Amino acid sequence: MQNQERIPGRLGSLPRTLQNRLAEFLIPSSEEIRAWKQQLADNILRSSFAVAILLLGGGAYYAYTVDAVWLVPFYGVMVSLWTLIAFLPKIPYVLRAWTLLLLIYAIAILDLFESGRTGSARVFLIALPVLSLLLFDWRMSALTLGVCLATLGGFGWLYTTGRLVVAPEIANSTNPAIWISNTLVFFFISVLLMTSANYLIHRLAQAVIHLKDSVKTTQDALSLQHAVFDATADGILAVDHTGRITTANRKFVELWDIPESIITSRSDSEAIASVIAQVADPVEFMARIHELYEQPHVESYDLLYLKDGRVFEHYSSPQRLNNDTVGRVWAFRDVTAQKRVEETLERERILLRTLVDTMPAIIFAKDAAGRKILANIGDQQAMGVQSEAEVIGKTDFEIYSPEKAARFAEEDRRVLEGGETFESESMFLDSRTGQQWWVSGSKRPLRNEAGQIIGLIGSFYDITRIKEGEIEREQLIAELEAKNAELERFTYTVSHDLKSPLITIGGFVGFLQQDLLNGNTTQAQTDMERILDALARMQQLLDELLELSRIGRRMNPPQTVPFETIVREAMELVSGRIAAGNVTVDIIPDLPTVYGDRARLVEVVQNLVDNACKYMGDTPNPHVEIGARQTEAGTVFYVRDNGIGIEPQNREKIFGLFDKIDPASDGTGVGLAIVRRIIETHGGHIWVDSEGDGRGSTFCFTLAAAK
Amino acid sequence: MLTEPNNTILLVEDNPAHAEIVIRSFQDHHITNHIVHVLDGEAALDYLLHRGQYVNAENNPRPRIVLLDLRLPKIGGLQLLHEIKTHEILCSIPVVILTTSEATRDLALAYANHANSYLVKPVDFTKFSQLIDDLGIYWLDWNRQPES
Repeated sequence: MQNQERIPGRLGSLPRTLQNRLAEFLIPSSEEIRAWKQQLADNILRSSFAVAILLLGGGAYYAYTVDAVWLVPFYGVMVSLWTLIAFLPKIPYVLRAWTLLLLIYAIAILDLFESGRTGSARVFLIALPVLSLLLFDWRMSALTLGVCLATLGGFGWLYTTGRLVVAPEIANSTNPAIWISNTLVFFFISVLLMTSANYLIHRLAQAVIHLKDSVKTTQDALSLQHAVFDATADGILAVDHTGRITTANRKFVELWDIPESIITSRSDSEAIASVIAQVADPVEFMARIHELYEQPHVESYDLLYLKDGRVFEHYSSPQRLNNDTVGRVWAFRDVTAQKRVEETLERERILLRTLVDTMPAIIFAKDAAGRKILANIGDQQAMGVQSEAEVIGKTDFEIYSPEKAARFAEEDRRVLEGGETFESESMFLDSRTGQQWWVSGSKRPLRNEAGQIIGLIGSFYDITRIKEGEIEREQLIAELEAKNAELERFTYTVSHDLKSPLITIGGFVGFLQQDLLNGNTTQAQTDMERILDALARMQQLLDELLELSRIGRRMNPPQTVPFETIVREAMELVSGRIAAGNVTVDIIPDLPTVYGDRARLVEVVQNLVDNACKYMGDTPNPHVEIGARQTEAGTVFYVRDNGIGIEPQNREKIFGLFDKIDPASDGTGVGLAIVRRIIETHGGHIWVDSEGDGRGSTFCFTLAAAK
Repeated sequence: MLTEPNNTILLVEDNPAHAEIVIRSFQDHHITNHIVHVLDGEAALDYLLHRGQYVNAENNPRPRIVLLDLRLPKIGGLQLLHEIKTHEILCSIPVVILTTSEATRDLALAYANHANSYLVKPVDFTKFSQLIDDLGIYWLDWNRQPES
């Protein structure tokens, strides 16, 4: 193969396959070399045509002058041949090349015959191997050189031996040493020329190969770049440092709908003008472009809003070549759809967020590790924080007290691990105000698309007011029921006790009639007294009932009075009974002040002391002590006696209406009922302590704290 | 009738005036003179069980009937009724409630505790007198009860 023969010698020792590869890489194809050589042959023939005609013409004329007229037709033939191969098309290259070589050889031979001057003939002969090298190859060149040497040697022998005598000058040079030295010089120069030419050709060929190769690589890269350039989703515009458009891809033209003429005109100002017309905020965009032109090294990323509603993402980066910024590349991408989705999502998010914040509830979300990922305004208020950011990413242990956090964590565990919905109604103590705080709600698992639990959502409602309402309602119901029961008892006792004297009166009026009929005046007198007693009793009952009904309805304005003052006033009112019973009364000093209806409180003490004196029994040293003691529940006032005492089963009964333990006592059974009523209207409570029969009793009562 | 040994009536009444009306009415109608009047439930139980001042069973015979007021100090009328009616021996004694109360609750509770009769004291004397007369005839004459 011709190609393989051209492999430089030093590659010969390399493995064959590698040689082949290198050969393919280094050596141009034979067609190309042939075309190149053909062109060379044509160029030599055409460019040297005029010189050749002159040369041949001159040769012919010289032949004529030296009486070698027989040579002139040869010159004619050669001129014709030269003309033919130089200008006739479609002559095969080999024929053309051979003809050229033969013509030059003929010129050299003619010259040798004609003048014997070896000088010009040698020039032609030197040209022959060089030409044959260029037109064919080095083997042909070596062959030509051999022919030339033989020719020169032959003519030298002919002339020196005198066998050929053409011109007198040559005859002078019959010395064979001259021919030999001339021939050697010729050989030397020829070899030099041939070697140089061969080397040049080789280098030239290699250079061409490399060039071709790099051009191919560049073309490949460029074609790839072009393909990418046009296939990319980004609209790309490259501008050089003078502001001229270097290139723009199809997508750029599509995105901006820029006329092709602007791109081909390479004017960036027109392109910008076309772009500006579509941008929603042209002033800002212009400013941005100027900013970037002034800072050629800066990269930028922006969002660009268009008048038609589209949104472009916009990158710009400098184009660098060997550390020099030679231009700028602008890339635009239509992100409208993405933006729409983002905007919709954002709107949805805001909507949901507002909804969650507007709800009059505590709403929060935690991740699987129990960290807060959402806390609405209600939750923020419940935690006592100013913003959601303060608690995001925190666990309950970082927010609440350890006890609370542990309780919540246990609830969370049930939801996160068990997947159950935790519902609760629970009470908390507000650590800041100390008030009770009720919430009702639930914690539900939060699942991802795959149904795995990734956290929980809690929503709780403040039901404190409802709870307070419930408690208040229950209290009111209990109070009402108590009132109702009391009213029932009242009605019952009133009807019984008021009817009782009526029956007495009715009965004794009947007896009185009988007495009058029988004329029994003595009996009539006692029966009449019975009637009067019953009437008096009725009168007393009615008075006391009226009194009882007044309590709570008609109150004097409350005031703050020292309790001692009240006791003293009461003492004056019961002084008669105290004196009659020979009772000693002790008032413990330093009594507190009380707040309430002064007259009624006096009545309380009066009734209690009166009661104590009434039930002294046979106590040898009747004694009453009035005082107050401080307890956890507040101040407890007491009236203690050493009288008959009260059995446990009667301790509540004695405060009931008309309930008398001793039927023989002169009371109506209203006194203690009145006392209880007064204490209760003062927000207090009354009870009696007694060791039992004959061991005295202690009436204790509280009053609501002064406001 | 006076010769009949056991026409004793136990009257439990805290109001002395009412007791006098009852006793005089019985006397007026010549029904019985054997009326034992006690002021409260405790005294009534003492009598029936021969305790305290009534320890002598001879002088304090078992009554033919008990006339019982409901509103009594110490042991109330209803409680006394309950004691009598749950007592092995006393339960057969007829207990007639004689009270001022017209409350349905009292009426219901009295019968629930096996009261034998429930009478409301009339305000009108004639009616009162008539009631005592009828009561005496019914319970002491017509009504039969086992001897014990």
